[in-house]
Amino acid sequence: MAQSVDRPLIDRPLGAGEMVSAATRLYIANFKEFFRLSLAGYLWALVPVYGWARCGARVGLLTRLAYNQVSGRSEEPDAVEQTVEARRWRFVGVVMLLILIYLGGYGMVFILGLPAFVLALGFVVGANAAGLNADGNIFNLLLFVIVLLVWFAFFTWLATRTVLSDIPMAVDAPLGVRQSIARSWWVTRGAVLRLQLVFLVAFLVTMPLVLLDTGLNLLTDLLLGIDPTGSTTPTFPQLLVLIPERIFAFVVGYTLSTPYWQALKAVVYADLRIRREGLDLKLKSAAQS
Amino acid sequence: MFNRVTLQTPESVELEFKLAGIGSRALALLVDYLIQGAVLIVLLIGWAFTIAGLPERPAQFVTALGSLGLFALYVGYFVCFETLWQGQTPGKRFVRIRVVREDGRPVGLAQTTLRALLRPIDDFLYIGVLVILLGRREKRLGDMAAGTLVIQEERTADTLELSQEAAALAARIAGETAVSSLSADDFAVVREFLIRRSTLESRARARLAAELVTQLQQRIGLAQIPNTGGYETVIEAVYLAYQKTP
Repeated sequence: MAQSVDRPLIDRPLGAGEMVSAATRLYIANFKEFFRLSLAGYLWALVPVYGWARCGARVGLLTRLAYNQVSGRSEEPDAVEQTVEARRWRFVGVVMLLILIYLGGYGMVFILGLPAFVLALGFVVGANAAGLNADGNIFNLLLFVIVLLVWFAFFTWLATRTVLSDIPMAVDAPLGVRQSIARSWWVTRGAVLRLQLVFLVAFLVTMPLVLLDTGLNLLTDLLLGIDPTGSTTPTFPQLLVLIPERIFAFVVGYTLSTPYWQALKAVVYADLRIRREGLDLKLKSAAQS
Repeated sequence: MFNRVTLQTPESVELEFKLAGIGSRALALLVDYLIQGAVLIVLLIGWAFTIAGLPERPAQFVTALGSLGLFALYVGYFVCFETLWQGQTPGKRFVRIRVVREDGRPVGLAQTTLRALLRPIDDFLYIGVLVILLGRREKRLGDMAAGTLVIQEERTADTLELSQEAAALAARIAGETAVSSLSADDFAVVREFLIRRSTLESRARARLAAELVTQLQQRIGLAQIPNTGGYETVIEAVYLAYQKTP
């Protein structure tokens, strides 16, 4: 039903705020269907290995439905279902490979960062010996801040370049695991700061969802008479309520927010393709024929 | 994807506007609050230095004055900018959105003040966000009270950089082809390509240019492609020639 859309919802490059608006409207308009798929996915995720593949396919299905609306592509519901289910193991593959890439990222930071760190440390030790750093450890602090900033910048960059890795797998023609990640890498080139702005605005807009979780946890703490700051250890009877509640809040939080972020990523992917491939730049009547 | 509204002006002219959407409004507010935050920090530092050297009573007086100033900054910022800049603040200008009255006229002091006074309530517990998302015309409480809408502005025309060869070719195309028969939509695509070509990936750019020229050739009856400068020169020339047609 939702698939009978012919006109693309995005037919030109969007601003950061416009992308968040588009994703929000997509999320609200399809809330029931997306929520159902997301919930099914997270319930499957409780089953190890096989369930993860099924979870990947459920989330992939909702992503593909979102992208079809964004790009104005019409597909039969059965065809969408078959397409994503056929790729279920490759969704797991994408996550596995991403984990390896992040581990590689950590390794690279150590290997490349170590000489620079040793050099800087030498400088600090030298400054100490010369009595420049006697009062207040200025250089130590400076070194710490610089290392932290470089670390943070590098992983923000890495995360942003790979953030769309699962989208091509869900929405494009059949791809390998590596190709899907490579496509995310390709479309996000030069767009890292703009995407960070998009995610920041989306985070602010979806804050009520986050607060829902926190509110639920806080309410439970108060009802059980537990200090929310965690200064006291809960007793065993309290834990019997507390642990299921925390799991419930966690699942609800993820079930509600996953469709939103998948819709946003679908919008971002469509926008970046329009920007880089100029999909909209065809004379209208010729595009129809 | 974006809500559109049709407004009736007092002169019974119908105007179509695109509503701003929650994302653009949130981004504009973020920019405005960052600016206010920066000003606030400067004021706080000034306040700290002022009261440091004062006896108790004058210090209390300065503090009271400062609290008033705080309120003036929070409310006055939006009132002043939106009134003087025809419904825009620095944040709204950054994301190209604007507050207008429900009949499309610019907002005045009364509207901007009402909006600013209800802002704390809209900000509290995200009431404004929820009301915007649930309503058909994306109004927060302040908008409802003041009878205003927040709309997205159309993009302003960018200036294009065109090559020297294109100008000469344009004269030829204007003389020899039916360039004026291009539809407004087709011309928009031509213009859009010239604006965005530098951000396109190079292979996509080459392929699109070739496709566009083939399409344009059929459309305006240009028999052969002139061999000066390649496809993009032809597109630039068509752009120039079309602009010159009456």
